[in-house]
Amino acid sequence: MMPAETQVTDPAEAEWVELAHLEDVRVGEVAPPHRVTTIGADRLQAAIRSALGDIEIPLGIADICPDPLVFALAAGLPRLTNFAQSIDGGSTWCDRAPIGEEPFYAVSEVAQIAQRTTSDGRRLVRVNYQTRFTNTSGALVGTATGSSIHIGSIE
Amino acid sequence: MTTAVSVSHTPRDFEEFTVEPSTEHLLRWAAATEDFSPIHFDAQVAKARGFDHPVVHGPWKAAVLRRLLGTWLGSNVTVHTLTARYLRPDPVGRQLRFGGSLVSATPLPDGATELRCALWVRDESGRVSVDGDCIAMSAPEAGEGLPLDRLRAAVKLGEDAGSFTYRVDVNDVAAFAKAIGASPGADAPATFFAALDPVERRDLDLDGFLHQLPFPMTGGGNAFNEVVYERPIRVGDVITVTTRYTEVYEKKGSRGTLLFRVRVNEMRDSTGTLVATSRCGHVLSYRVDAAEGQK
Repeated sequence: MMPAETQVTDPAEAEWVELAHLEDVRVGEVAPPHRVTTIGADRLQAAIRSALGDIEIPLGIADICPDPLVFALAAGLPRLTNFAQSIDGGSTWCDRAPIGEEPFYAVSEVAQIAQRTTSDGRRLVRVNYQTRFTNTSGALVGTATGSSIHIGSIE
Repeated sequence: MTTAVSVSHTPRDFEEFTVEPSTEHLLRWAAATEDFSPIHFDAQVAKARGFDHPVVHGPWKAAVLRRLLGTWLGSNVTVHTLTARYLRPDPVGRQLRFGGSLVSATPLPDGATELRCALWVRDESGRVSVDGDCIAMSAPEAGEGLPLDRLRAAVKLGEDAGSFTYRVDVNDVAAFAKAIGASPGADAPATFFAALDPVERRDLDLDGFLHQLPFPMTGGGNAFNEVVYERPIRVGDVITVTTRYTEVYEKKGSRGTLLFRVRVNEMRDSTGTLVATSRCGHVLSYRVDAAEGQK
């Protein structure tokens, strides 16, 4: 079996082609908004502290949404299923305002679907899920984006 | 109480940090993130999914990098954007090296410094399994009082701070009229100018750092609003609003030190003809003395 990583680090500079939909995943599909709080941030900090020791940093969107891909899927967005392998391809967190004690509203959406062929002829699909976090006044606090990478079999 | 640690912002490589992620570390992470995918702790499931061993969560590695940024850049730095690309799976229980470099440090007009960093995680063989980048902001050292000079530079006092164009839609005017109990019509209500304020609409945000000052904030809100109309704002108008801050000053008040920012919005239609000019004052109050007492 091919190790998963050889597909993702494929140095071929093939063009990504954007798709409007694939299987039942559609660009622009939005999950129902839901309320999130900073309560889980303590557990997260404790989890990292167990490996790293005490390093204090200001609370950020990454503490509210540590895994943007898992977060968006848990919100109800679909994930591609008809591939040999599916992995987490990366995350981006953008903080736009300081995080306070008040709750946030999170809305996740399928932001992009793109595909290309790897140098060994496999289909490679990337689905970006973006979640926007707004405060109770409606102001944007930050965004978190997770990339789901799907690798097909050699055709 | 956390003590701010200042670190030099000369471009350089960061000191590497080594961690050996164990199943226990990752189970704690799984519990905190509610990601119990068994590929991270069950060898059989991992094998069935194409991995030789259980693999470390990608976001766990990103979270470690994010915390290390606090050590590498100093605690007075705020991370604005962090991107991590998970290039290779890392087996649980193997040593990982975390590192990176400060690529550039660019002073901004408001006194802050924008820091750009390259980040990586390498496995025991030196292969990069995560590469990333980050944009962070280093605030200038806090002084004894409110940073009026920094604020004046940030809002470009006396200069045009930004221009934004808005289409006056029939639904917006109707919703606005309903909200204030007015009858909808072709002319927008007299107070509609506030709905075209780029600052209130969060299209222009030059003084966001005021929410991160080391002084307790005791309140805030609009101090005053004035408007002079040349003609009513009408449904169908395309209005370009140009904002200019005209005053930044502080006053002592019962809730502490009051910080005022006054701005003027010039509203012009698509022909460039002046429609209205508004002047708004916004105030924030701080307990500057209380922060002094904490030192």
